[in-house]
Amino acid sequence: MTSFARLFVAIGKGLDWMGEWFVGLASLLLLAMGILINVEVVGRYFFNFSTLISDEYSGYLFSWMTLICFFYALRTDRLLRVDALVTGLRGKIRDVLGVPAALIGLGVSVILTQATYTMWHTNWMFGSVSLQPSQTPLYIPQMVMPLGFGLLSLGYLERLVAAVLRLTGQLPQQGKHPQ
Amino acid sequence: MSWEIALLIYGVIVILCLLAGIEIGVAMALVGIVGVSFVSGSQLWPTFGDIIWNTTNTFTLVSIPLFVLMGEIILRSGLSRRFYAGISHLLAPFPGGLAHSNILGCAVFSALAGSSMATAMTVGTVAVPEMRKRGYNDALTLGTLTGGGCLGILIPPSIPIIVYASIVQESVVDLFIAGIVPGLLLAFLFMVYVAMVSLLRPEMAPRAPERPSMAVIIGGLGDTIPVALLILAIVGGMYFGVVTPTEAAAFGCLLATLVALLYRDLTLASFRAALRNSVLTSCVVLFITISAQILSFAITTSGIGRGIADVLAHAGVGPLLFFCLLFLLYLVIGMFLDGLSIMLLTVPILYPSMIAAGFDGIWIGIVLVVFIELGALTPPMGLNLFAVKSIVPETSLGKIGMASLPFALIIAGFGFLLYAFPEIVLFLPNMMRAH
Amino acid sequence: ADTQWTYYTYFGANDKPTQLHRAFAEDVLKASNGRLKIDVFASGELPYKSSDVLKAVATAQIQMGDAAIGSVAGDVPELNALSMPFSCTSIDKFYDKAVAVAQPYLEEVFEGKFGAVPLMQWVMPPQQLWLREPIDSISGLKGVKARAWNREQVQMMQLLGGTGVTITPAEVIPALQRGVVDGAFTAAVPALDWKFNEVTKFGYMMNVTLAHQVATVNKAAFDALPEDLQTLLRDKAAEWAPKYREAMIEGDKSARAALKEAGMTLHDVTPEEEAELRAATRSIWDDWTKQNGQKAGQMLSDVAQACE
Ligand code: NA
Ligand code: NA
Repeated sequence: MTSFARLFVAIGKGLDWMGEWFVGLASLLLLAMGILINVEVVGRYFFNFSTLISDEYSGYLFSWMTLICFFYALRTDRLLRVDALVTGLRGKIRDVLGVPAALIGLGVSVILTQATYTMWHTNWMFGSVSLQPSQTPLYIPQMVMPLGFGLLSLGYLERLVAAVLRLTGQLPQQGKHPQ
Repeated sequence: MSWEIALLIYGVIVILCLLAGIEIGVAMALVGIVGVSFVSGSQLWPTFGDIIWNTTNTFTLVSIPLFVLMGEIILRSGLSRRFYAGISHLLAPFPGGLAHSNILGCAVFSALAGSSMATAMTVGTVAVPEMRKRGYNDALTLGTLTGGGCLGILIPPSIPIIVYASIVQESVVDLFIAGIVPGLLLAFLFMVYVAMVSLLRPEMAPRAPERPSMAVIIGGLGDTIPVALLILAIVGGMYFGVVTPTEAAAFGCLLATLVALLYRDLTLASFRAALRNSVLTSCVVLFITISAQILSFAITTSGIGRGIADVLAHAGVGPLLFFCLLFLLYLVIGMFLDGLSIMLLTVPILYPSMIAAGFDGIWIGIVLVVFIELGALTPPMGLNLFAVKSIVPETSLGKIGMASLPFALIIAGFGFLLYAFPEIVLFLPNMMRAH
Repeated sequence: ADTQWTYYTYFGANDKPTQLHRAFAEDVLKASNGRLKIDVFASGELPYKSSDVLKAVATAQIQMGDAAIGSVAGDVPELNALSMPFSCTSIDKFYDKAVAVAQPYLEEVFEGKFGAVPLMQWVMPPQQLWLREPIDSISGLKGVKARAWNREQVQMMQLLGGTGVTITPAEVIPALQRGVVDGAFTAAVPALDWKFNEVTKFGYMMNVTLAHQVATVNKAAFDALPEDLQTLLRDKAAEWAPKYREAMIEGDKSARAALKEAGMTLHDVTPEEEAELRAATRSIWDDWTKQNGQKAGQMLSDVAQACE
């Protein structure tokens, strides 16, 4: 293994840790969402009290918990794909095919990062707030969009590099990680 | 560029990407980006930001992680094991045994869930491990789940019906009531099919070894009580105005946790695993949904949606042929788009011509829901297939698709049954209105 | 056509406002001899929500948009005067006086901050409160849980002794039906469209607010038009405003009649009740002015005076 390949493997371990951390955070957000909605239900039914944020913030929590997991889902190969043909291919051909596939993934996720960043920036610039009673500045919940797609881009970049390293013989061919 | 050529190009790109093993979501988003760029360069790219934000903030999706969490808690706390142990004794005399309980379970959870994915996933998480343990063939198990999940949007509450009602301004209440009989009838047809398969190919669904004694049956009934109470409490919560359908998901999680704690079955580790799995499942679902919305934006901007609708509206044929054309159209669209996109894209354009063809507004809504269900079972874009795939990641989509085929055929036939006997849809709402 | 614009409205494809926008666009196409073609896209045909409209025009994703000030209040809170309870309760007074008063305020913010031209103002019929059970006086609102869709409605319910509750739009009907809430705010036309008569019995016709709408054009797109087309577009907007006015008044009237026909009781507030409601909710105006500054307060008092 070249020193670059060794560095790449080390970074991969760091990314493993980061992905786990994001999934843990997302789990806490789901818990928070469950509690928030139940507080709304109990408050409204028994005490004529409304949080006034339960439906709005449930949406924000949902965005956060799902978008920060894209990265982990990609790296653990959970994002759905039709793998019937690819699994039939062997070694080198699979890696040759892997380069354009990773490039397309990278291109799409970079464009979406840029698009969501633009939207975030527009709301930052205009100081837009939500319409609901909380009047939350939108740039706060929307931060997660460029973050999530940025991380996804990072995941595809890692795939691209891995495919190239395998093609050039710097990583073993059937390396289990990254996929 | 004409819409016909655009359609051809998009189709080719999607198929190539899928064959190359590219993630389905990425393939759809790519076509979306390409399509939008054809029409207006990169000027409309910021719109993808609006699409993503508006999709992740829809109430339709927010309840998914909570419904999955409820299922996970029921599963991991052992409540599901009790339920299945109990119900298997009760269903043992019937050919097909537990496979029926999937259909019944889906029908029951449909009264809780507004989407077919949530229904399939909730029942599926519980059912798959139990049925595998008892030696049922996956081809039957997985089909009953993808098919049974379809009941989720026919039996109220139903998200696509709400969307349809909001577009054409039919009564949500009438539409909900209209969905009940077709939902139950479809569940019945599924069960007839399961019984037939079990009789013809007993190896698919092993019968319980011996007839259970009365004591075992009573014990089994006792085991079904916690889950039955849970469902009753949630349905009751909605019926008596304590919770809205979305809130019911969170309320259900709370109740499930309490029941599980009562049985001292839920450990902290299993609770964490439940949270984690719900989050990841929702993440996978959301990725696809966002991409489908981006794709449908491209389909709008390139005029494919309006183009197809125009062809149909000006075909100038009788009602039966018109219905056949509709069926074919939705069959094709359903292969590539998710149900909500289909509603949003086609209804505004097709509704006037359907009314002109003499169909009833309520009936159209229910028939469209049936068409959408069919789309949820057809690859490459079949949301129910994906939902079940997320429960059994090691099983290929192709295998899940094959398992779903008989159920897709039943649904297709069911659509024509509703055409022949519109009263199946209309008699209940008409009766209620007469009161 | 020399110029082709996208005109987005968050109303549904079959809603009255969308039909009016389409007719307007057709008229412009004809009057310009086919030189300016405006394509109207309804809700669901483009991926924007009502709160996205002004930003989408500002960033030239669309050339023209139908912006509800109440829905884009997150971007232009200082223009949201008409969302203050009872600031303007009559469509006629709005068109006769308030439009001219509001125009300079709109122009300053739209052109200054968003690069957008406010081409035409119009209003939706007034917001009412629809209740499952009848009430016989304002004090009957004590303890009532009502679905509100903005901060002002929540504050209003609190000041009247009730509770404002937030529920996602699509669940309002089932929530009313099953009694999750006792009532909801909306205008008569949507109340009829959503068949409120099946889930509520009583319309408390308070005329809380009119939804202030602005048909707005991206300024760069507008400036790129030849002079004569700019004039034509402004003339056509002026010509169409009365048609919107007539259609909304007519729509409100027939929706009320249809709701009564369907068995609902509609109670129009008496002048005394209206005075009492105004007094009880006045602090909302003051809070809003404090939050949005001098200029916003000025607009509110100007518009309210015009509508008196
Ligand atoms: Na349902
Ligand atoms: Na499909």
